[in-house]
Amino acid sequence: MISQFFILSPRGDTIITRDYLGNVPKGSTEVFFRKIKFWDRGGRDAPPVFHVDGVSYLHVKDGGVLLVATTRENVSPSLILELLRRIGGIIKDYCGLLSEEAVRKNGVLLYELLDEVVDYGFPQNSSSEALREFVLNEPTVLHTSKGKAAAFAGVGRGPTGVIKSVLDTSRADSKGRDEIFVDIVEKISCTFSASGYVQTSQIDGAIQVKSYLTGNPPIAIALNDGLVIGRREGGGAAEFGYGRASDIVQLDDCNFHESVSLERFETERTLELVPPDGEFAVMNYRSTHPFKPPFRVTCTVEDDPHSAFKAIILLQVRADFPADKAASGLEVTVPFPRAVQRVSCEPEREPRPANSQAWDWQERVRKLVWKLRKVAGGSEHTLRIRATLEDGLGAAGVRRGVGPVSLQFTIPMHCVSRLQVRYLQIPKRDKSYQPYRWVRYVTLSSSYVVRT
Amino acid sequence: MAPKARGELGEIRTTLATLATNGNAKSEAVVASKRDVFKKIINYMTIGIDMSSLYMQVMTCAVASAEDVVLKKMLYLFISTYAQANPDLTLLTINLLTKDCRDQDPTIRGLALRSLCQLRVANLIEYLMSPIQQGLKDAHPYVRRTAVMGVLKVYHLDSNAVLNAATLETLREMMARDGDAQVVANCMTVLQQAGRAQSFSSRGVVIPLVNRIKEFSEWAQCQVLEAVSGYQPSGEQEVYELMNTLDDRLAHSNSAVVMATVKLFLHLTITMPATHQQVLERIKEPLQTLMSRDHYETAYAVLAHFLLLAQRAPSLFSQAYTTFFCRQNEPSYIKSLKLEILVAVADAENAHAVVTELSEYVGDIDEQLAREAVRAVGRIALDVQDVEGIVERLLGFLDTGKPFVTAEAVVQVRDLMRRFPESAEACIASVSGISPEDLEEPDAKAAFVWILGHYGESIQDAPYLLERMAGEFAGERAGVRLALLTAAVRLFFKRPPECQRLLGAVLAAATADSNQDVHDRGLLYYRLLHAGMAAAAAVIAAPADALAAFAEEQSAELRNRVFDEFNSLAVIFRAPSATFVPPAPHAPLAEEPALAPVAASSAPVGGGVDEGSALLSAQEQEESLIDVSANSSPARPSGAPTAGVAAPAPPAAAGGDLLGLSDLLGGGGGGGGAAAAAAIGPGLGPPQPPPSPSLALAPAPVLAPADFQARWVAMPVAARFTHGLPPATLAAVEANAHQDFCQHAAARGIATMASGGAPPMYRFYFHAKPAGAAARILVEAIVSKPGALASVTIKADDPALGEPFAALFRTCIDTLA
Repeated sequence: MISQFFILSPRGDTIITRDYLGNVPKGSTEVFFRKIKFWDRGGRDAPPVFHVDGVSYLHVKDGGVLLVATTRENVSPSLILELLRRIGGIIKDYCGLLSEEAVRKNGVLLYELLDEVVDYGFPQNSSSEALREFVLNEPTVLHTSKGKAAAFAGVGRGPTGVIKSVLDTSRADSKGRDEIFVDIVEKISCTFSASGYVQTSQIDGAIQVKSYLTGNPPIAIALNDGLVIGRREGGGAAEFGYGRASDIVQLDDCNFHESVSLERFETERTLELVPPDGEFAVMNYRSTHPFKPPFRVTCTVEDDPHSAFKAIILLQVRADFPADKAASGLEVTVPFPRAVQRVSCEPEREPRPANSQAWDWQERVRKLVWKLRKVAGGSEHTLRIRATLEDGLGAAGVRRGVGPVSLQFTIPMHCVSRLQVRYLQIPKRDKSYQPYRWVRYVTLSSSYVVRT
Repeated sequence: MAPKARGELGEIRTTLATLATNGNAKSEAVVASKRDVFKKIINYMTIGIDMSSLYMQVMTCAVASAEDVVLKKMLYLFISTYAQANPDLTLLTINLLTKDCRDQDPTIRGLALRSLCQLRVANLIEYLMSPIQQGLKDAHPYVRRTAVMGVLKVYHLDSNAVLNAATLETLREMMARDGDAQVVANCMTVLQQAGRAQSFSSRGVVIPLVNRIKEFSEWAQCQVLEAVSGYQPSGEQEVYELMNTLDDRLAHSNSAVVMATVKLFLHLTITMPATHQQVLERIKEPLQTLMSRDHYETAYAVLAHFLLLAQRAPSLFSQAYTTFFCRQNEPSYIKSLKLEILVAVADAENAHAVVTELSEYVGDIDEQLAREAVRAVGRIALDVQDVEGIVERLLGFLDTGKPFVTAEAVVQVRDLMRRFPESAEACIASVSGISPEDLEEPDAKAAFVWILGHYGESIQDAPYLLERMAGEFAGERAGVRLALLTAAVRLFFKRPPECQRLLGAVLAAATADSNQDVHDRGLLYYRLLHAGMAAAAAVIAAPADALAAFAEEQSAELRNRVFDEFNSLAVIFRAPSATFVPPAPHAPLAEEPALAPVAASSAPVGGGVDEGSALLSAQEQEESLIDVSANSSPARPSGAPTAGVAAPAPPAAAGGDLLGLSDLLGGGGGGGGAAAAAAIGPGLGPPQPPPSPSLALAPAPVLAPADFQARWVAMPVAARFTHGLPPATLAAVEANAHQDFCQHAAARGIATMASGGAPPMYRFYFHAKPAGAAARILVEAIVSKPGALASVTIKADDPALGEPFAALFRTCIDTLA
């Protein structure tokens, strides 16, 4: 199955290495890393699976490190890659997070874990809580300076910014409190045509659970009553008898974690499960049903009345979601054609506070990045960009090369699909048992592109 | 690092020694400092520093504090890392480990057993079997799991030790009875690795496994599903039952489980087309969900399978094409795969939308993506021909101002013209707007030259464009030189007056070329021209047939073989596992051994072979020609052949004659040139007598390789000729390890004795037997790819058979669909 497993730092240092079958020659880490670098230099991402001299290398990138498996057999790529992902997940569960430093600090603990997860190259036990009884070393949990305040900061990393080892639950101090986080994370992909229509859109969502409940009690997560799963083909939503169309949440398809029982799902839209320790996705879902895009963007290129060597680009962003929500870390990126030599920007209105907006002209790649720290729902922002051109062709010369505009953002407590956790039930063992429950929502941009 | 480490090594050694002798081995402080030292050792081990010299000290230290399990685990890790290299020292640890195998604590028992089996030292096997046997009977599942895996470890070291103890039978029993799912899964692993996979292909084993599948871990579920794919259900009813039971596995969040289920379902229904189709419909949505998670690596594996499925059943995904549009942040390996899938699913209905989307990528900052997008549009233009606007898009790429986009587009337009000559007219207008100076990449230049050569009659400037490019002849890559050569000759037939200079220059440069291909082709063209315009035109400028398929495309047969290995690396690498899994001592073609002796023995047959097969003896003839031209054409300065040859060319004569070319190259009719031309002449010169239609061949003749060899030496040559290969035939010759062409021949009663060779030269040996006669006909055919020519030598018992058979063989070459 797997001949070797190793973890490499971004610079190619071996941080963890385990040889299971002894049928791959030494130096495989160098062979692997040289290949990765080769792709990297060509500006390409190395494919997760490749082979060199009869050895297949499979890897995943996570937390800045490379988790790699080598094999000489014709294995299932999905199996190995999922296993590598899982190992990354176990490290997160035990060390609080996955990073080069975390792996270095916890080397011996990770060897202990690895020995249980993979024996002789074959995957064995991989659930974080079943591993607990075999793990004796103490984790060194790293704490980033931001701590819990950074809960929603990591765009694209998911919102569970809690850094905590599953081993903490059994402890008596404040960190050992019983708590469970249920996060609905939605990543949206949306492509607008030049005329402002939504060409394609998709929501990729997940209900992420991070559980630190002692004794692993069963829980129930109830979702919207009007949840419809399956393509539109079956006819309109009204047929399902859920009343007004606005109450309906339609998903194309979903899948569930191992631990989930679907007995009450068909009738009550309730997921029952005994959450294992650590972080996992209870349910992944996907929807291509239309939703209201949270941002509308227009980008116009005009002649400068004073000079043919200048063009004026107006970039306008409108936040199209309720005013009680606010997006954080909005980044608007506009690529410019070669003819643009430099740009100068001024916002339509003076931003308040003054440091809430910034722009960055990346000359080498000819990209302007406009950063807005916080954007309240319903608000509108405009940036005037004066571009200096190398030829005197005016706007006509650059219009074709400006764009497509792309957006990156995080909107906490907003959920475009309107999927909801109606309630999160944890049966009481006794009167004093009062675990903390956190139910959170977040919408992230995955690919939000406005063509021009 | 090294010197520092050596210093540290000494320090660690001292610390270990102190810790081993001093203080109370049980005191917490001592244990804690021991742990710290051990951690340090393991860290050094990880970065590759050899710590094996500490073996003894580490042992002593750990044994003294044997109660501490953390220390023990680190010791085990240490031992299993260095055991193989230090078998003698390892012997010392055996006692400790076997003792631990009888510990009270099941965790310790398991750990010790695992480490014991991991030592990988062959002469210690005698110590392993009894702890393993005990472990298999242990009350705790953890120990049993470990023991089962231990069996495999021993099996790989010494399979007899396992077989003698009848352990595999024990495992088979455990697989049926054990209550712990992981123990069962491990038993399956071992049996499967030991080549006993058939032991779980029976109904009695499979059905209970399927029924309790949810008890298994996600990895073990994959194993069970894999095992079920080896099972033959009794009938369709059972297939449905199996699929109903396992249907919920498709909604698993682990892609490995879903992929294993998909494989099982596809294989179960392979003989039930209607159900198979339903399965494909069923798996569509779950696969898309797996693909759109932001775990790009697992999505990649799923996408690779998508591509395979999309190529097999394009219509299935043709409506879901928007799923395969690229997203902004995706890694390039995902985007590349998506483009390929888009090409596969494009059909008349969605092609317009797909091409519109692809056109957006052509403007992308990522150059590689832009290139791939142009290629994708080109492919769609080939596959979905009758949709409006696609060709126009492609032609639009010629003029985007980005040189690499133009370059890719020229190549695509060339392929389009090869495949659909009727679309040429539309393309020519756009292509003729290109200036050769804008093209930098060799492939693009070659493509542009090809277009000028084939459609030069419609491009006014063609001869002059070619001339401009030929000016740099020596500086171009071989592919461009070959293209220039062919284009010059082709265009010469169409527009002789304008091309004469060009042709002279190019031929002279080519025959002086150091590249064998360019040189040979130049020579071949020259001789053909020498032999007569009509014959040369028939060979070189035969009207181009529309290509049915490009040889580079993966054959459906290969794809089927990959499909058989669904959910494996074969799908990712797009090749059957035999090509990348090393131990396969791949059996060569059955005919292969015959090839070498036959080829060798053909040499001493006599002068006949050298005389006739021009390509084989090209070396000799080349020498003679070069000598002659160097001696007898003083007008040709050796440094600048192009200018020197072109200058004395007579002014354009209107005639269709050779325009004095023989003077030009042959050096004033020097004997050598003429002789060389004569050598090839007979094959082409007089028209062949009409073939006698009466030769009928026996179907599927049989001949032993040794017999072939003996006869080949003994028989007289009955006929010998060279024949141009139509593109389809050339493609068939190359494709599929010659099988396609050989089958085609076999259908006409011409059996293959051997085939081989590497591009650009292939050799074939055939044999045939006239129906109802004892005579034999043997054939040697040498195919040269660049010239698309076959040099054929026919030997027969009865020389009279030569001509009729030659005709038959020519038809065989020409009629390949």
